[in-house]
Order: sequence, then C-alpha cells, then structure tokens
Amino acid sequence: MDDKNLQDLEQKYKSIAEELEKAKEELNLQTWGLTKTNDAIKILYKELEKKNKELQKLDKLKTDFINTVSHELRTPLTTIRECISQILDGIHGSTNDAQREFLSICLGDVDRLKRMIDDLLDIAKLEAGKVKIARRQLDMAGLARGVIAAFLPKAKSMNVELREKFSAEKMMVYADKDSMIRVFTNLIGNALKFTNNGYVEISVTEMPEYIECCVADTGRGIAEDDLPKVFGKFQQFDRKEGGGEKGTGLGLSISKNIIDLHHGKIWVESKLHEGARFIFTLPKYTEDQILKEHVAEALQEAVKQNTPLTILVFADINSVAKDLERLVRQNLRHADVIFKNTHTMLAVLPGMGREDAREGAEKILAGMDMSKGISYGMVSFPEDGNTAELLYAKITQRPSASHV
Amino acid sequence: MPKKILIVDDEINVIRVIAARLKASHYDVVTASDGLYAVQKAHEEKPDLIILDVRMPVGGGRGVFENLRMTSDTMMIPVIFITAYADDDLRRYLLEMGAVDFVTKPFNADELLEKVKKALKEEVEKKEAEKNG
Repeated sequence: MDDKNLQDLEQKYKSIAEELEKAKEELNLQTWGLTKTNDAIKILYKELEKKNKELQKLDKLKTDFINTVSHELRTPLTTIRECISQILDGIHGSTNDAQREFLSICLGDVDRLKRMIDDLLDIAKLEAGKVKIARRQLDMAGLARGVIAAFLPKAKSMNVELREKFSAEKMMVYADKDSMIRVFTNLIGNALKFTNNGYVEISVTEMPEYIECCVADTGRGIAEDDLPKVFGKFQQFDRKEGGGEKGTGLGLSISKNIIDLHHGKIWVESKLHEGARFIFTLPKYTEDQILKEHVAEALQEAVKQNTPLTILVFADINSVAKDLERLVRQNLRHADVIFKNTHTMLAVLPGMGREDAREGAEKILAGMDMSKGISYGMVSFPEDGNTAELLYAKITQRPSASHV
Repeated sequence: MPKKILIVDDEINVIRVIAARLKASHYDVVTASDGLYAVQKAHEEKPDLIILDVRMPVGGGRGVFENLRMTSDTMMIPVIFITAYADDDLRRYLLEMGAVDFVTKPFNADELLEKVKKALKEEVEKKEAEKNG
C-alpha cells in the first residue's frame, strides 16, 4: 500500500473515531436523560400512590360523614316527633283544640324536616358517587302507569286530570326501577303542585336510540329567567296556595342526578302562564351493551378499590338456567348475575380472585344435575386484562375450562 | 299476660319515648342503654321481643345481635332493629342473619306498633308450630 492510501485510510479512521466519540457522548447524554426521567417517573408514581391513599381516605370520610350526619340529625327528630305524636294521641293526658292545632303544625314541620334530611342525604350520596343503581331491563310504560295510578286520588281531589300517552303498550329500557319511580313521582308531584285546573299529561315515546319521557302540565309555567335554576338545589318557585306537603326544593336536583347516572338527559321547556314540560331521555341498550356496562362498572370499582374481579361464564345452561341462577345467588352472595342469552349466564364477582371463584363454581356445579353438561370459564382482572374491552373480548370467546 | 319488650338504645330520650308508646299499647317494657347491659338484660328478663338500635358505642347493635344469637336462651328472641343508617348492605346482612324487621328513625308510631305486633304474632305461631311437631 502506498503512502497516499495509508494517509487516506488514517483520515477515514480518524473521522470514524471522531464520529464514534460523538455518538458515545450523545448516548451518554441520552442515558443520563433516561435515568433522570426514570427517577422522575418513580417520584411521580410515589406521589400517585400517596394521592390514591388520600383519595381512599377522603372517600371513607365522605361515607362516614353521610352516615354520621344521618344518625345525628335523625335521632333528636325521633324523640321530637314521638313526643308530639304521643301528646296528640292523648297518651299523656287530654289536650284542648288550640293545643292540638299547634302541635299538629309542629308535627307537619318535623315531617318536612325529615324529608329535607332524606333528600339532602340522597343528594350527598349521589354527588359522592355512593349511590349504586341496579339497572335492569324494565318496561317504562308499565312503570309510568303504576306511578300515575298512585297519583289518581290526589289529582281527583285537586280537580286536575291525569292523562297518559304511550307510543307502545310496552317499552323496554335499561334502568334502575326505584330511581325511575322516584323521578316520575317528583315530576308528576311538581306538575300537580303548579296546576290549578286543566291536566297533567305523562307521555313515554320510543325512539330508535332512546326512550323519551315527558310530564307536561297546564299550570302557571316558569319564567324564562328562572329556567336555568330549575334543577339547582333548594329552588322553590311560588306554588299555588293550598294544602299538601311543602317540598324540599331538592327533588329536581335529585332527579337530574339520577338521570345523569343513567347517562340520560333531562330538561324543561316552559313559558310563564303556559304550563311546563319536563322531558327526560334514557339511551336504549342492546344485550351486548348491557353486558359491557356491567363489566366496565365492575372493573372501575375493582381498580378504585384495588381488588380483583372475576367473571364466571356458564355456557350451555338452557333448561337449568333458573336452578343455576338460584345456586349462584346462594353460594356467591355478591354476584351480579347477567344473562347474555338463553344459553349463557355470567356471574360478575367483585373482590373475588380466580381461585375463590373456581372453588365457588365447582361447589355450584356439584349441586347441579351432572348430566346437564354445563361448562364454565373464567375471565379475571388483572390476569386476563385491565380494560373492559379486553375482558369483554375474552368473555365473548367460547369458555374453555371445566366441563361437568 | 302482657308481652315483654326489651328496648336497647344509647339515647335515654329515645328509650323513654319508645317505652311510653309501648306501655300505652299495654306491653311490659325493660330497657338497656348499652350493648353489655343489653345482653345481660336479655338473659335475665327473657323478653318476647327486642328493639335494638344499630349504632351504639359499647357493643354496637350488630355485636349485641350476634352475641344473642350465640346462646340458646336468647337466640330465638325476635329482634327489630332501629336504624338511621342509609346502609343497604348492612340491612341486607342483618335481615339475612335473622333480624325480623327494621324501623328507620324518625319512625312513625303506627309503623313501629304494626311491626311489633307482627313480630310477636309470628313468634307465637312459630312456637305453636314447633309444639305441634
């Protein structure tokens, strides 16, 4: 090799060496950067753990507060109410008319105070996320009819007509029965309070994606300025004179909270002197969507409480569905039982790990007729996934596990 | 012979008003204002029914109930719980454990008396059914 070639090679070598040195420096810098990031992540993680513990503590404080306030307010009310009631009932001697009149006023207001405490605590629970609604497929038309029937005597005594208008005989919706009764009771009760004569019309209409419910009255209506405040707390607008319970001003706030929990919408349309229409909608759910909701809610709770979650999937249940459901409810007390279709049943087991769930399932199947050929599978968090989509995907696969 | 009812609540005034109501309805009444004393009274007096506050400092209503359930001479006494609690899980648990009923504070006197009457009637029917085999 001649001198020129050697020099060229030496130059190239130097150049590569310099580039390598530069790359090495850059790598060192990046390593340093990554180490710093890693340290920062560890600190953030510790912070998150700390915040999580604080949140859990706060959550428990909220529950304790609600329960303590409930007890502390209701106990003196108990003695006040009973004392007045016993005097009125003549247990402690006779009373004159004037005494009875004023004691009755007291009793009425004690009961009103009780209703306010009940409503306030309901709102506190709703806003603290402490209310567990048990949604099931229910017939909204049937439910509305039941509430309307309960109001008939009152409406008749007030000379107000109750009308119903349903787009179908039966309309299924995925909702909590007690909550829906409460909302209808609140809206119809309000409508009657604000209607002197005329009618209150309750309608339930089935739309493609949702069910729409409306309580419309021919009452005094609501001023435009007051419309935005209607669903706020302690809002009471001038009601007509007359007897009947005075409200707490919290009913619509509670109704709105309930509808929000159901992922629905509620609003009011009204003009002064032209009546009011209170409308709420609830989304319609397919069987699959209902199942996904159950899984998502259970998973959310498991993550929040840092507990496991197992879902037992029983297949080929067919004719033994009722027996199986009974055995599941007896042996797995906190199970949320959902029927995916006529041959598949799920038991969502919050707080239960795989081994306990397996033990429970074996015990249940041991109580079944062995010839029926029921199989079961398990899907659990965190082993099978940490998102509702992952868990749901595993659930919809054919279960593979024990076969009895 | 009038039926005997044991009232257990840590609030003396609550005991007084419930006692007055029950006596006016011709029941005999005995009382206790804490959990330990309640268990002792239950053994001594063998009441026909116990009205028991869920939330009490010493022993707690739930603790008293579980204790009474463990001894043969008190386990069959029907218990009606009084509660201000909004806790559905606790109610379900206690009903499953064998409490016959619940009354929520502040209660309606007619409701309390109805539930007392029903619990005592069911107890008599149960005892008669056992006697007849």
